[in-house]
Amino acid sequence: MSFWSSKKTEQLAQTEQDQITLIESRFKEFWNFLPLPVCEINKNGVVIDANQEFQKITEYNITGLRDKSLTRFFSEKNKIEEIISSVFTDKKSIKDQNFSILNYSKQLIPVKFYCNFIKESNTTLVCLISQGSLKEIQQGMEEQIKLRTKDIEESRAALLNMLEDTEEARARAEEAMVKTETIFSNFLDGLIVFNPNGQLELINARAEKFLGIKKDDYVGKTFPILRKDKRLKSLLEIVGDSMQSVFRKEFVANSDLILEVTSTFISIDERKLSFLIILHDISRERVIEDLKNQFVSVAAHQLRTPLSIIKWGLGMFLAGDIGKITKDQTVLLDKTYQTNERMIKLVNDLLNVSKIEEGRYLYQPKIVDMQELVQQVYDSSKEVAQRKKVEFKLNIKKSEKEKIVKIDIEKMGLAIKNIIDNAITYTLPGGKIEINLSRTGDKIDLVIKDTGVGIPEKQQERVFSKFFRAANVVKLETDGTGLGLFITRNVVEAHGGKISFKSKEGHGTTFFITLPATV
Amino acid sequence: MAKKIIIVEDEEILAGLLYKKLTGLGYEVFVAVDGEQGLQAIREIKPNLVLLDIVMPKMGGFDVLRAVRGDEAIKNTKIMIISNSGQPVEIEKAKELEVQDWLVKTEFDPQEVLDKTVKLIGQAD
Repeated sequence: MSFWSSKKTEQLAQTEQDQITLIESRFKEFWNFLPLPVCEINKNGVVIDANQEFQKITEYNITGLRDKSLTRFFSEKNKIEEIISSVFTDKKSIKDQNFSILNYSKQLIPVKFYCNFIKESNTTLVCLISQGSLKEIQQGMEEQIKLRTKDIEESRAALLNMLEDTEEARARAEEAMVKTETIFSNFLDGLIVFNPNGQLELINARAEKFLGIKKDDYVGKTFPILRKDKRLKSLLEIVGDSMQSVFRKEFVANSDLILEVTSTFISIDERKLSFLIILHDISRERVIEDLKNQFVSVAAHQLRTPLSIIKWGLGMFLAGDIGKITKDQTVLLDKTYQTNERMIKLVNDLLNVSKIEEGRYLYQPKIVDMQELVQQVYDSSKEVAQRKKVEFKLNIKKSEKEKIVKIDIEKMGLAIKNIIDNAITYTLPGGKIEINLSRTGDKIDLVIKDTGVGIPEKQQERVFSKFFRAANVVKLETDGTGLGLFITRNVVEAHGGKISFKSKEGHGTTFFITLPATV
Repeated sequence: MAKKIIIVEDEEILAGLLYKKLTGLGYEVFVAVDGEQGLQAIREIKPNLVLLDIVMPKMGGFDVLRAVRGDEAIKNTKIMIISNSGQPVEIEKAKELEVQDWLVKTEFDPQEVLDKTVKLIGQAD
């Protein structure tokens, strides 16, 4: 379809003249719009018309172009002439020739030269494509390619870096994994891990040894299934019916192996929880503890006899059995006697403690009325309290049922006496001690309240520990074994009871003992 | 005639103390330093009361006790053992062998000895 036929979209002119005018004006518009330099030459090679672009590139206006030889505007004048004559002669077109425009400013502009013979007008149209712009385009494309190439190379470099980093990270992760695995498998404690699905995932060598099992037989099985397995049954019973935390529970694996079992849930990044069981070998610790205990027991026993002898020797002096003694002699002997008594008490306490440790403490529980026991202990301490000028009261609350308990009388009596002794010792003259015994439901409550020096808050949690004495009372009463409350708590708890206290330094202390009633 | 008491105790001072106290009340007191001697003394003297230590060389208190209870001639001798520790196990064992009473060395005082003696066999004469 030629350009000319586009007039179809417009209204046709009434007269041929109108048509021609229309065509001409359309042509003119196109001619000047075209962004390529175009000119028209006659058979003599003279420019008869040129468009805006041609004028621009040559830097001549239309007046300077018309009627001039085309060769004037080119550097290769002979060649141009040749082409022109051949085009007119052969009535053909020439394409893609490289020439240089010689413009007004005497600059050379490389162009590609195209020309076409037009039969109807016996003229030739010449069209140029500026090499410069071609070059620009080419350069532009080259630039773009360069940039793109640069981009790609940079991306490639970045990817390689990433790959390196990933490799590095992977290597590190693997290293860490190998390290963890090594630690895990060589760890001195036995370790058993269950994955978040409750299946046995890992067992280390030590655990295998402790339990006499091979991990391959057990990995993948769940806790409930393993609990029925004959080799793992007794261990998992220590943990419980299901996976739960336990802290340092003893497990006798066999006669030579005693383990301390601790289990806990561990979470990794807030995801579901793995379950870990730790087996710690305390066989040696146990042996040492037993030896220590035996030593204490033997030592205490051996100490008792000489202490008793000293006791009577001094007793005899004081009783005047060896002859009358002076007042001064009495004072000194009495002090010595009392000191010896304290030694005897300490030795007895040590023996009690060693018996507690051995687990041989409670002897033969008997069914008694707690009321009687408390009354007895109270009566035996009345005098001491009186001498110290401390008010000492016992209140037994009447209850529907008798306060019957099943206890080792000697030990329970000792336990209660320890608390009462403390109350008396650590309450200053003018103070007050109150003992309350009551029964509520099937619980027997014994409350011992004093207005004594109290226990400093920071030390309260250590009060039941062996040999512990609070700082504020060591200065008040330099004697004191620190064993009394340890023994008391053991006795109370061994009977299935509970003991607790409330205390404020400078105000006093209240001890609460609860025991289960037998009937 | 004064009642006779045999003290079977290897601990010198204790034996001495008991001897003094009891003699002071008018009893006739003999002292044996080990189980063997003690058993022999019991057979020969046939005392009203024996104060018998448990832990002794050559022959321990329980062995003496068994020997005495097994011997027709002396099986009804009144015996009060002197236990070192007062361990319930020990006391139970002694009761089984029919002792009349017991003293715990580390806990009693000499007056208790006298009181118990008088309770068991009455005054010296």
